[in-house]
Amino acid sequence: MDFKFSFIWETLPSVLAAVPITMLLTFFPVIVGAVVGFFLALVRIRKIPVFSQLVALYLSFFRSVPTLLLLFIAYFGIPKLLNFTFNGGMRVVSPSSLPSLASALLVLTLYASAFICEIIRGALSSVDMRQMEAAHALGMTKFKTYIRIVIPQAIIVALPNYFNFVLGMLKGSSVVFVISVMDMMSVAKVAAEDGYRFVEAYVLVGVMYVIFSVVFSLVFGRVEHWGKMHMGIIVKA
Amino acid sequence: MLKINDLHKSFGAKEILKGVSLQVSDGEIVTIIGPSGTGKTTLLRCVNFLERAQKGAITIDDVSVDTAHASKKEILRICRCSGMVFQTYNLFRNKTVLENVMEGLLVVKKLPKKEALDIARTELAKVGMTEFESQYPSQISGGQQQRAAIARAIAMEPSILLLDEPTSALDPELSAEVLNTIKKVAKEGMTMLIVTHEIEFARELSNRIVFMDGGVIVEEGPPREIFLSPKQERTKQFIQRLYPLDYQI
Repeated sequence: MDFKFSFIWETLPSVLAAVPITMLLTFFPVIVGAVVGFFLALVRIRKIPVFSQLVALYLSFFRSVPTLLLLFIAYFGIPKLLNFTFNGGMRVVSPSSLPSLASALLVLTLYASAFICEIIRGALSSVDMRQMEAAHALGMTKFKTYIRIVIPQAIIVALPNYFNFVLGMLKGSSVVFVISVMDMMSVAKVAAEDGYRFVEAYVLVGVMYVIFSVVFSLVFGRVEHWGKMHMGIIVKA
Repeated sequence: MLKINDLHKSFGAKEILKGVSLQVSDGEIVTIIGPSGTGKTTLLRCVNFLERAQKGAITIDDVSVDTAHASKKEILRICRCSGMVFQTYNLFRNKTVLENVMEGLLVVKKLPKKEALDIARTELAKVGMTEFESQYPSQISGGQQQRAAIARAIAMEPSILLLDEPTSALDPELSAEVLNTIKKVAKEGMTMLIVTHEIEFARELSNRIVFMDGGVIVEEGPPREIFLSPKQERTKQFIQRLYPLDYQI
């Protein structure tokens, strides 16, 4: 079989150079998404009129449309919208003239916020609210109760699903190649096309994804374990 | 001192409390008994605004509030004057037994950590929970959780301790350990308003028994009087059903 290991070594540096972009595309959405998702979840739980319905609409849109499609909509749609609003419909801004990384980050963040909102909503509603009554009886304010009792417990419940989503994001972020953001996947694809060495390039980038997934899983596992210890679910060894 | 004045509470169209007035003096232990669904628990929950009564006034010591118009601040003040022990313990699950007892001291009373720790340890010793102080609620029995919950409530030095069926979720053995703890706390002069189905316990511990039925106080008096010579027909029926043989009146 004609499998050229030297090609892998030659391509490795450029793929490694794209690691920060992949990390950015993974962690920026899930971190910002956690904050945004939390507030969206509160809107949903407290059933704030109008906003709650708007959030529901947002959630169902971003959870039902493929990410690939979302990227295309942003990539081609944003320039169109800008031209329509500011340039009277003249094609002044073209898709390729906008930073595609920014579009990708925007789309992935909106997408992550929608999913994480549901993760957090589930976690918050799993907390036994009778503890709220106990806190009230002690004279604690609602805010303090949320900060010190409810949210810490919700976080521990949300962690497994959240980390699962982060791993999904790591792999899922590879679709950004369609709008030519140069993440690990795109760099490998370009290298493959340049050298006509598709298998080698894709095996290389596949191994990279596996390595990151395994490392993250280990770290996440430790964090989950630590969290469970703080609920007394696991006894300290 | 707790003073409840003409308390009315409805859930939707269903009227649970139909004008209840009750006074508990300092150091007094008052037990509310009565059939299920007569508003005993609701009465207790209205005192610290876990339920908001539509009409009436609540006074604890020098804090007096009109339940219909109580502001958030007033509600917090009332809560800080009273302690509550729940049927389901309601310990904070992300905190150890010791941290549970310290929580109110740190967050509400804003005591320095060292002082809170000392108070918490003293209270835990009182309820016999010293050896479990670093356990989480999920790691200890119901009886132990309830004793920790009692320590959490009394650590705040409330003017009155409200106990809402503190042993209904426990088996007889665990129930006994909790009841003994409550007796011990009572001996130290804590004012208490108790809702319970443990009639023997009520008889032994209380200064006064309040019999409630259908959202009103039917009769109240010293245990001896209520159990041996109730005046109202409804009370007689209830007591007779509790003691079919021993207490034929």
